[in-house]
Amino acid sequence: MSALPSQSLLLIADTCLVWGHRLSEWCGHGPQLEEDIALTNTALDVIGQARSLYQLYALRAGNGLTEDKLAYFRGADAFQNVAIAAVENGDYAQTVLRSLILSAWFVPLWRELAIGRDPELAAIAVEAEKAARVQRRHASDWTIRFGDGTAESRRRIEHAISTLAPWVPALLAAEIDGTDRARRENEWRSFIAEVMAEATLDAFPVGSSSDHAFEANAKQALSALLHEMQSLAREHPEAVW
Amino acid sequence: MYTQAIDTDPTSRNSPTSHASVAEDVFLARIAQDEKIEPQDWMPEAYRKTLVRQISQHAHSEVVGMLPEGGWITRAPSLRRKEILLAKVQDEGGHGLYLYSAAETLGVSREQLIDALHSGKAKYSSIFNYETKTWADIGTIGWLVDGAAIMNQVPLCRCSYGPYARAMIRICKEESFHQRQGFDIVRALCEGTPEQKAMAQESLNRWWWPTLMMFGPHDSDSTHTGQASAYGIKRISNDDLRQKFVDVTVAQAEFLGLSIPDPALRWNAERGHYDFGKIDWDEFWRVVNGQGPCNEARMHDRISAFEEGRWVRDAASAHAAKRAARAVARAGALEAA
Ligand SMILES: [Fe+2]
Ligand SMILES: [Fe+2]
Repeated sequence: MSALPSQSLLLIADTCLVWGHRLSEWCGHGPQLEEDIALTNTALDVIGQARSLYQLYALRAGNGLTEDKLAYFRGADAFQNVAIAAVENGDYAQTVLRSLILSAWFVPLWRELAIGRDPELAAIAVEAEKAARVQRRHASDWTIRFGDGTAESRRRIEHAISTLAPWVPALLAAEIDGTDRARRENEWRSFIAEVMAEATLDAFPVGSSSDHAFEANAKQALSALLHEMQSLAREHPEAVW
Repeated sequence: MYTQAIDTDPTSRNSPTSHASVAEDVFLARIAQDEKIEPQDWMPEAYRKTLVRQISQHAHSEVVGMLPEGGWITRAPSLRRKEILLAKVQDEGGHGLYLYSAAETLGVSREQLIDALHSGKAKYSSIFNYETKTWADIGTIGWLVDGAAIMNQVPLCRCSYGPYARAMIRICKEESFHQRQGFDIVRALCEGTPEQKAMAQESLNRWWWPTLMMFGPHDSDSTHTGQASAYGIKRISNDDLRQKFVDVTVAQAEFLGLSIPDPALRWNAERGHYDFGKIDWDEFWRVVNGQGPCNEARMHDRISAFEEGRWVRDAASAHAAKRAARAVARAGALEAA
């Protein structure tokens, strides 16, 4: 079997779950009903992907491990997600920009995994790539509207860019076995460059490496997120829901 | 019931035949023959107003109804339940959307309707002003609140106004999924640990009476049930729907091993129905008039989502206007060339 090593599997699964959690926080609070529904679609897509990946991981690990044990009974230190997924939502511009950054990273990743040597993962990746393309389109459309909309929307998307940019180097540096990291980074950079240009925004400022202050910050956001997500399940560790 | 028959607008009290005219006679004859009225058809002003009020109350209820359950999405105790709940709350948003669109066919805009909600002029179902304190409430809401909504809404699938009737058919299908999913949450709790079972019982204790209030005031106290039924908008009375709900739900509670918090509840063989205790109408009116446990929080959430989203909507229209202007400029340049 040419299974993807479990650490890479967890990195993808945890990123999906944590990002999905952040998106789900918008449910019922979106700027208009259509957007509420669209964000929830993305949340459903990525939480669904997380579930499939955890199930695959648990099956391979054996020992009675389950998707819920992986999601609810690991602490922040065990989570492998890319840090940007856990950053708080901020305003709608920041939420949309994070979706753009992540979906532009996921599209080439899923595409490569879909034709990779791990057939069970490939089956998940085929569907996930389609979903990621839809998310990337949606997030690009809004980024362009914000950049080339009103003075306020432009100010907000610019602010979102400076807030999220420090997390991007770690995202682009993430190694996933059996995939070409450098190619993924190139595709990410050229896609983002096109969107920035169409949005009449300055080039996206990718630094060279994320500094430690940001990492500590992201861990703290992740801990708070997991504390909320896992609270009920951990209160009743024996329960079946 | 999501529309609760609580508006006491004097225009809606006019008898539909009080301004008799040929057009109105034709209109009433069509309704009597169960024909559908469509947006382009002539309709009496009172019919239009009644529909706008009812459909918009219904739409607002769907949207406000996203809040009490939405608060548990991030804490759902398993990934499967999380996915189901997220999809459910999303469905409710979709219901809001279809219903606002149905109301728009009557010549009002979504903005006007939302404005009426935020200014307190329009109502929404009082049930969503109660707190969701425990995970069991998510099950109870699906089981009882969606269950009561279905009971009320199935007859609306035959409502005389075409766009509303069609929206209701689509909505009812989804509501019955919600009801089964909610029942399944409660079932899992009842089959679970003693703490889980207690959580289910405690939740039922809190939601039972507010759910019965969802059907609205007694028929004898309801100001416009008579008129809405003459117009083919309301087909079954508040009390009949409430009775039907009690009859169906008692058996479900027995199956789950839960007890309904009503000492007066007993089978009446003569009537062929369950008798049940007196509803606290003071509580009902308190909640309808803004003094429920969460009225303020719900309106605060809706209004702040709307206000904080204003710049987003403005950006979308500004961008669309810029694109349109560029397209016109391009077309002009082509023509000149
Ligand atoms: Fe609904
Ligand atoms: Fe529902």
